[in-house]
Amino acid sequence: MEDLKLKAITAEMNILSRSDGSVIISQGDSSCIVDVNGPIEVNSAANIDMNKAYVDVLYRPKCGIPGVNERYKEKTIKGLCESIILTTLYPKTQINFQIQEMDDSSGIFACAINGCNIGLLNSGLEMKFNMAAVHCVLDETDEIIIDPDCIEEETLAFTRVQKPKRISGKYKADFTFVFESLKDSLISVHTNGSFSLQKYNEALKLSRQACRKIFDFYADLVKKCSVVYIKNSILEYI
Amino acid sequence: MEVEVGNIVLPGNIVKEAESLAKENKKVVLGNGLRSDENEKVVVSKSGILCKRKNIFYVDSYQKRYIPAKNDTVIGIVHSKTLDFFWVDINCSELASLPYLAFEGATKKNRPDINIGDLIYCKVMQSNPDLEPELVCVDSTGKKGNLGELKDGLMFSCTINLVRKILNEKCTLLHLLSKECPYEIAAGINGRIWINSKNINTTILLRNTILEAEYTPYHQMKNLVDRFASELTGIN
Amino acid sequence: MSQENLFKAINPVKFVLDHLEKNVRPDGREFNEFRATIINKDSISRAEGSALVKIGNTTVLCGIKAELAEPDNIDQNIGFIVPNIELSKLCSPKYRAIGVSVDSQVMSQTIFNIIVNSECIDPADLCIAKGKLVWVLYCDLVCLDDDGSVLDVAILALSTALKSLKLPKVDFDIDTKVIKVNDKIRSPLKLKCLPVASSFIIFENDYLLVDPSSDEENIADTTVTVSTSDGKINYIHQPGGNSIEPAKFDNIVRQAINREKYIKSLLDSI
Repeated sequence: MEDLKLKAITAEMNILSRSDGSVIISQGDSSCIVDVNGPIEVNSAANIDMNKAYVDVLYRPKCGIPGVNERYKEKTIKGLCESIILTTLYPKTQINFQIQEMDDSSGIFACAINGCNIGLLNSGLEMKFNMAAVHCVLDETDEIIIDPDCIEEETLAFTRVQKPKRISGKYKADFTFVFESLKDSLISVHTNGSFSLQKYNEALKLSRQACRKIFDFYADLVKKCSVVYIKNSILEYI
Repeated sequence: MEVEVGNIVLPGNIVKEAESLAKENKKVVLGNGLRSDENEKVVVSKSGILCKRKNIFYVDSYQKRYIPAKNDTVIGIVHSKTLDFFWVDINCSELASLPYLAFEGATKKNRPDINIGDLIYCKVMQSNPDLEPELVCVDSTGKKGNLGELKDGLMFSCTINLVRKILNEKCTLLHLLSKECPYEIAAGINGRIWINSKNINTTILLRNTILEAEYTPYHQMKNLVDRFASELTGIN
Repeated sequence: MSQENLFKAINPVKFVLDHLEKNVRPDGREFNEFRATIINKDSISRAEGSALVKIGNTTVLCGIKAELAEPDNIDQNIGFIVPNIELSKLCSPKYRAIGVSVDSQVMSQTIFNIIVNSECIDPADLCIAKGKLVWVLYCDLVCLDDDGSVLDVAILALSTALKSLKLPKVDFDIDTKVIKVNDKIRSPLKLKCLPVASSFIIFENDYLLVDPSSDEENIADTTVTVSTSDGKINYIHQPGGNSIEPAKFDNIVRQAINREKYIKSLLDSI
């Protein structure tokens, strides 16, 4: 498919001077800052793991205090990061992620996952592979839109305690797929709304094509940064 | 995806060359950012540039956090003292131990005179991820050499890449600076540099120049040092 | 310790794998066989709706308390539903002893997402007087025993409790703001559908097992939970692991839909 277009992705590595890896990433109008620190000392004795590093994720929303919805994102991102970092190389240590949501015009979750990956590349922690998250929605005419921008997300006042964001009635469902870079295989799925299996498979197929673009973006970004940070220190390759 | 030496690599890429060399029964050393997986494939685990020196393959990557490795010379800050050890902060995930006896001429009776907060230039003796790193302040002959306590001067943190860069023999910065003014420097590969010169103004100027060198290509080092020289005459 | 338990303790992966090679699971089930499901409706007399559900050893108790409240300013004619699951040391040593654990918060959110996505309840049905008075349904779930697939059991317990829910008749005088609750006349809540969640694990990239027990869950490469209602998928969650081939995924969804049909017939029979 040639007309597969993603929102413009921009990322700037190393924006925080005191953290080991940091990035500000924006996909369209959604953006967030990811800060990676590690391996550092485990801050709570209960979390010490003698065999591998403990991964801790903090997700801060744009405004207000983090709630249950943020916990859900934290847990998913934690699981993903644990599977891409070679955690067994850093026993009895902790790797901290802090994600600060900056602006959300749909797909912030995918944006945060991609941000974590770039943050890890910047931090120099050893990884098994890269991951790329793609967000897409199913609109009312049963058409799949990859990486939509500026969807009005309405706060659903269905519950008093938790107020999840939900895409407005125009859209039937939204999907966030996470792929790994070795075989482009799916490592995580997160869905919202109701849909049929056929539509799910369609969305998955389109997203799989789209994830390549994100991997290409990572390669491009690392290339640019390597030229600045590393290349002028090894004369052989100038 | 397969990559070759000199390429920009990402985690998960496969280095065919190292693998085929190993198949020919030649000795191959995998350095920073490379590992061999269960199928004996050589896989990249960091992002950066793939380099090769003789039979050593490694990834030159950007890093701020220090991960201890044997024989690295590092700058540590004494954190606490126990019966037989100093506990030293070397910018890694845990404190490193430095035995009292690992100093030149130290005996059970004659302990080195080092206090909490002092800077120590030392070597990593042992680095196993499961144990805390162990430091020494003597070489294999029991002499202290350049190692030991760093008195006076100024210590500052920087990225590990900068330390690697200024220590590279092709980098002329330190040599050029020494022509302008006398100074002492200790570069710890853990991202800490200590400098000392005749007065504090010069020391600060030296620090700024070294930090600036991170993004300066080698062929422009001369310009950087010229600028340093003109500023030096301005302050003294 | 018996020889079998010893083997299990030493090499849990090989223990399960050896069973699977003989086409049987360690607990004697077929690969696509769910554990026995036991549903007890109206277990708590003081709650407006309640259920106790057991699938195998995994047990979840759900009680729904209905309270009256003022609606939110944003949307004035919809009520609230607040699911909350408690996962304590009581059910499994893997959870924290005290305080609200992250696991229970995440699972509460998941349950909420499933309820909202399946659109089984129209939140407007919970409205008594627009802008003035609505129902709040506090759905408290307690996991009594965690032997794998807690989410499936929790969703089933909540669905059953919602089905058994009977709300008293409330008269609200808009002018005088007098609330009259008539406990004698109770009516059930309108439910469009009921979501049913099914968990699957993939072991050694080859064996697809339904309704995993906690032993199987611990060693699985890939876990995937699918929730369906009326044949439509409303929730898919795969937290990590390996990719699932499309054919295998179709199989998963087919089994989830069959399971939903079975659960539906089971709920209709009680």
